[in-house]
Amino acid sequence: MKTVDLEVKERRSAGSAEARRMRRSGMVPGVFYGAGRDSIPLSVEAAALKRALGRERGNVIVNLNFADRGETHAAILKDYQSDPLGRGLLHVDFLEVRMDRPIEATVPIGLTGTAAGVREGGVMDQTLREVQVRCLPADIPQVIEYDVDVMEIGDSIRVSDLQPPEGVEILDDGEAAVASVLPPTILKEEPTEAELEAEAEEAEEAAAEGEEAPEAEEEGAEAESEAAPEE
Amino acid sequence: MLLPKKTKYRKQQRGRMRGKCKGGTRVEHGEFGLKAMEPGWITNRQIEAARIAITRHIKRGGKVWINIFPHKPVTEKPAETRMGGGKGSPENWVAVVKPGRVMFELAGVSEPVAREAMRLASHKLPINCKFVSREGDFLEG
Repeated sequence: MKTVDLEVKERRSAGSAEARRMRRSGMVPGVFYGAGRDSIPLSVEAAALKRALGRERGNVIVNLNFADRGETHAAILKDYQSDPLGRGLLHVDFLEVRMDRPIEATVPIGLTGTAAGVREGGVMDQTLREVQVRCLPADIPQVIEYDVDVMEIGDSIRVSDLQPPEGVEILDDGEAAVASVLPPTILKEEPTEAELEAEAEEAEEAAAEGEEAPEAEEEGAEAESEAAPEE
Repeated sequence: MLLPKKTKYRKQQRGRMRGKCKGGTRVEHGEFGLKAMEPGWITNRQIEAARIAITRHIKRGGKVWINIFPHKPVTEKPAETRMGGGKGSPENWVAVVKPGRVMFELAGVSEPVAREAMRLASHKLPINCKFVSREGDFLEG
C-alpha cells in the first residue's frame, strides 16, 4: 500500500457555522482517532487532500503531519462525506494505524481481460466490487485482480476464487458471487427481415385456405410483438 | 409502466422538495449513472421514456438499473371545471427526486456509449442532469 504525506492542522473551533466557513476558505474539516487516544479535530487543505487520496481512491496510508503539535501519525481514510452534487468534500475521518498490527480494510476487485462470453455478446455483471480484508497495513493490496478471459456465458466467479496476495485474508463469505457473464439482452423493436418473410409465407398459406384467416393471424402477430418486453 | 401495486391512501398532498438528496447519491450498482442536479417530479411515463432511450441506444449488451420509483399519486381536476367540489382524481404517478439522486445506472458498455445513452435519457426528463461514473465518483459525491 502506498504511503503519502499530508499536512493537517488541529482544529480548535467546532460547530456547523465554523465548518461552513472553513469549507468556503478551501479547507475540509475532519477528525483523527485511534484506539486508546482521544480524537483530534483537524482541518486539511481540500486540494492537497484530493491530490493525496484521489488517485488511489483513498486506498493509501496517510502520514498526518500535525505541524502545530509537532507530531506525525500514520492513518487510513476511514470514512468521508461529500456533497451530493459533486461540489467537494464535507468531512473526512482518519483512523490511526499501527504498522505492526493487522487491520481490516476494503479493497476493490479488479476484473482484467475480456471474458470469452462478452466477446460472444454476453454482458459482464459485476455484483461485488469490494472485499473486506485483514492484514498488516503495509500489505493491503491496491486491488485484488482476477483474470476473466476464460469466462463463458453463464459462468460466475465467487469470492473464494479470488487469489489475495500472501498475508492477506479475505473476510467476506467465500460463496458470495463476484461477477457473472449474463446472456445478451434481446431488444425486440421491429421484426427482422426473416420474421417478415416468415409472416408473409404464413399469410400466403392462410390465403390459400381462406380469405378471413390471414387478417386474424397478422393481428395476432402484431399483438404479440407489441406485448413483447423491450429487454 | 411503473406504478405501485397497492397504496394505503388514494391521494396525497403535494409536499415540498427542500434540500438535497440524503441517500442514493453514488453509483452503487453499475459503472455509470445519471444524477439529478435539481429537484423535480419524474412521472412514470418519463421514467419509461428514459429507460427506452437508454436500452435502444445500448442495443444489446449492458445492464440498466432504475433507482427511482413513482410512489406518489398526482391528482388533476377535469378540464373546464369550476373550483371546489373536492380534490381531483389521481391521474399520474411521480417519483420525487431531489438534487444529487442517481436515477439511472448502467453497466457493461463503454463510457462514450453510456454518456450518449444518458444524454438521450436526460432529454426525456424535466430536470437538469449530470453524467457520473463510479471511477469519477470518489471524493466527488
